[in-house]
Parts: sequence; structure tokens; C-alpha cells
Amino acid sequence: MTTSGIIFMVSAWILIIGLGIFCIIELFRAQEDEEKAPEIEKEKEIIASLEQAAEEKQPHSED
Amino acid sequence: MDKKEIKHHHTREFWSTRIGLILAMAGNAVGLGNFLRFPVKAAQNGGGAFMIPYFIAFLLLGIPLIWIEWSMGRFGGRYQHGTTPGIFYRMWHNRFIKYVGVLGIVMPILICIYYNYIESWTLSYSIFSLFNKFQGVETREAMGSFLSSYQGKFPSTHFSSIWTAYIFFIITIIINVHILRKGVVKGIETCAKFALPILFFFAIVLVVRVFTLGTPDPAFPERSVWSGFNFLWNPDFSRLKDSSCWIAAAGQIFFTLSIGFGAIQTYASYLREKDDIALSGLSSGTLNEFTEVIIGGSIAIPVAVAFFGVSETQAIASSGSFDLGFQAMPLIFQKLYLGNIFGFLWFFLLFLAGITSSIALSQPAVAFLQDELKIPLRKAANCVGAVLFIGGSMVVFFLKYGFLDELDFWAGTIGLVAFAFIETIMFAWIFGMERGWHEINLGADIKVHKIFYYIIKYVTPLFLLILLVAWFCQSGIDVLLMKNVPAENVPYLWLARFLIIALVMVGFVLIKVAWKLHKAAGRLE
Repeated sequence: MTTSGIIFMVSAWILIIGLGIFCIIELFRAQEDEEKAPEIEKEKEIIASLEQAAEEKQPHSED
Repeated sequence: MDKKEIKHHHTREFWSTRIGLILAMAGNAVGLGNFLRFPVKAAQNGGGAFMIPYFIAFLLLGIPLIWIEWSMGRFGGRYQHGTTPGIFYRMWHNRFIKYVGVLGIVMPILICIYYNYIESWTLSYSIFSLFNKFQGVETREAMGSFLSSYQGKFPSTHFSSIWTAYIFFIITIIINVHILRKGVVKGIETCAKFALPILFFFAIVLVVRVFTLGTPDPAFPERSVWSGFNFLWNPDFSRLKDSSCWIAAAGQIFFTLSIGFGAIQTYASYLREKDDIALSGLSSGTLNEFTEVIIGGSIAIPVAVAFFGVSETQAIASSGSFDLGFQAMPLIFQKLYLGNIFGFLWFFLLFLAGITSSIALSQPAVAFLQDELKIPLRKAANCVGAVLFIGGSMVVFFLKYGFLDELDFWAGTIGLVAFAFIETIMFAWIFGMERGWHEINLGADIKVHKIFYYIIKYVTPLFLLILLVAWFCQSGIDVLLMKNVPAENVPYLWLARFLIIALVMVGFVLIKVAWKLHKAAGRLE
């Protein structure tokens, strides 16, 4: 096999495998984010309820 | 969306898993072309140099059209439309545009009508391989006669009539309809989840066998697998100056990704409103490219050169993909240890690649009957199966008169590019690129680079227009005027054209009826 033939074959393969690896990494990342989403949502709810509680408490302390 | 539409929204199915969706979309794209057409086109058009226009076309034509079709499909699904008449109507509230969308149902059905028959050859050849039916057929000419007599062109010692081919064709139709009747999740998604991994496993076994072949006949040291890879990949840069090389590369990208068929829109219509399309679309396209360039490029041509040498492989490649797949490959497998098993793997792999594509081609018609005419799934699948059987029977019996080639040219070549051009204009210029860009990025798991905004708006339609004009000028006029057609074939070619027109007309009538029903039910507000 000629050197230029090898270069073209390997380059094409690397390009496709590289794109494939990128897709797999991003798919896993998206899946992780999806799994984390309910936890983040829960954390947001807790923060919101704490903030609300703090706001409710503030006027009392002023009194 | 009004309340009625929201209510109906839940009657449509959704893909159950993302991997199922990607495999089904990849299964739609991965077909016989990945294993037969690609290596032949690459070898004919400059080897490694062919990959330059090929990757440029993938970037400027393939990826943008994948995103356009996925976006259109998901957008239509939001309004209970899984096919282009409804999708076009929702994109542009023009009373005539839905009739243009008929192409997105009729063309895949027309392609499926002849594709099923070719698919049935792969099924029968896998069984012939397993039971050594090719024994005693030792030359390419003899293998050609074997295929011709199987197709009923003339009787031989192997086949006295066309009935064997017809029985395998009917079996193929039954398998297709059986999958379609089970619906999107239980039928199409489950089929893809089994078929694609099996296909990859068979393909990897074959690739490993090819790589370990070395020089099968020491009497011909120049005939080796590496000479085969060299034949396929050695770049001939002079071919890049030839426009036909660029057109061939763009055409290959077009066929391999199954764009312009209307099938991607239907599959994408089963996505949820905020499901990602940017990453899933790119992933399915990449999986198809992996199957084509890495696996498809490592089987047929290298093995043909190892057994026949470069000059004969050149002759096989120039005579077309089918000669490579159905004449050269069975001969090669006969010369291998456990050749019947490898032959079975090769043809069954092609069958799996074929069936995942044929169900995708049939699904738009099933979805149209379900979504627009509210026909139950099983009935809809049976109706489509009947059309495939009747049209396919014409292909089986009139093959020798060029019936299949006529359908392939109008529906499977010119029609696809024309339809892709129409949908790109619809998406980028009528629906509007701002809204289109929003659709592509809605729920996206990757950030799509802004350059694709301009590629989709300007480059892709221009590329498609050039391709359309080039193909029409290259062979369209000759085909239209039936130049160089034997006189006995002419009535059959007219019959093929009549079939195309008849299906389009039936499509128009059904669309008219469907919109009347929608109007009466108040679903069009």
C-alpha cells in the first residue's frame, strides 16, 4: 500500500472515529445532566424555600 | 396548540429510549449502499482523493440536511403530523403546500417498492450461501447467469422460473409489514435495537477475516488485501478537477444518509417537544459514516482485489455495485474455509441493513394514514403492505424490461434531490431561518456553530440546485425521452411512469380527504 493511500485511509478513519468519540462523550454528558436534573431541581426548590423563609422572618426581626 | 391538539398529542407514540432512536435513524441510513455503492464509487472516482469532496459534501449537505429534516419532523410531531403534507402546512399556512408534501410519502413508497425486491435477494442469497447452493458456479459469468435466472430473465439448471425469487419477495414483504404493524416502539425501535448490533457484529467478523486473508494465492503475490486497500485509497488527485467526481461524492452522501426521502421527518416526529436533535442527528449520521467508510470500505473491494486482482476488480467495479455484491462476493466465499458461513454473514448483514431501511421507507405512508386519516395502525400497515406487494410484483415480473431502473431514476435519484431542495427552501426561506435555527437548537445537547446558520441558508440549497441540474443534464433528458431504450421495454417504462403518477394522484385525493376531516373536527386552527 502506498504512503499516500495509508495517509488518506488513516485520516478518514481518524476523522470519523474522532467525530464518533465526540458524540459518545456528549451523549454521556447529556445523560448525566438528565440524571442530575431532578437533584438540581430539588436543590433549587430547597434554596427557594429557604429564601422564602428568610424573607418571612426578616419583618419579624425588625419588629 | 389548541386543546384538541394537545389531547391528540398523547395518542401518538414517542421513542422509548435515545439509543433506540439513534439506532433506528442509523438503521434508516445504513443500507446496501454502505457496503456496495460506497466502495465502488470511491474506487471509480479517485480513491483516497474521493474522500475530499465526500467529506466536504458531508459537512455542507449531509449534516445540514440531517438537522433540517430532524427539526421539521419534531416540529410536525408537535401538531400531530408525521409526514410532509402536514409538516409543510404547519410551516407555511398555504392551501397548496400540503400537496407538494405528497412527495414525502409517495417517493419513499416508490423506492420501497423496488428496494424490497433487492432486499429479498440478500435474504435468499444468505440461505443459498448457508446451504452451498452456489456450488459448481465458478466464474463471474456463471454467477451472473445464476442471478439472471433467479430473477426470471431466463431459465437455467439452477432456477426454472421466477417463483423462488417471488416467494422470497413475499417473505420480505411479510416481515416488513409484521414490524410495521407493531408500531414505533415495539416494532421499529425493537427491530433496530436487535438488527444494528447483529449487523455490526457480523460486519466486524467479516472485517477481521478480510484483514487476516493476506495473500490468498501465493501464485499471485500482487493479489493481496493490502493491494485492495491501496486500490481503494490511493489518491488520484487529477480526478478532483473532474466535476463528475464532486457530483458522485455529493450523490453518495445524499444516498447514504437517506436524506430527501421523507423518512427522517417521520421518525423525528415521534420525538418529544424538547428532545435534543442536534446531537442525536449528528450521532446517527456519524454511525452511518462509520459503517460506510470504515466497515463498508474494508470488505468488498479489498477482498475482491485479493482474489481477482486489480484489473478484474476494476472491471467489476465499473459494471456496478450489484455485480460486486451478487456476482463477485459469492465466488470469493466459495474459496474460503467456512465460506458458506461467511457468505451467510455477508448476505444476512445486507438483509439487516436493507430491512431497517425498508421499514423506514414504509413508515411515512403508515404515519400518514394514522395521523391524517385516523386509520388504526394495523389497518394502515396492511394497506401499505398491499401497495408494496402490488407495486413490487410489477418490479419482480417486469425487471428485465427496465421497470426498476425507471422507478429508481425518477423516485430514487432526481426525486430525492428535488424534494431535498424544496424542503431546504421551505425551512430556510419560507419557515424562516430564525425560526429554523431556534428549532435546531431547542433542547440541544450540543451548541451548533453559527456557521451552520449560513450554510443551511445559502450553501446547502445552492449545492442541491447544482446537483439537481447536473444530474438532470447528465442523464435526465435521455431518460425522459427514453433514448437508447429497446422498443419492447417502452410500454413497461410507461407503466412505471403511470405508477408514479397514479400514486401521486392517490396521494392528492387522500390529502384532500384528510384536510376535510381535519376541518370538520376543528383540528386546523
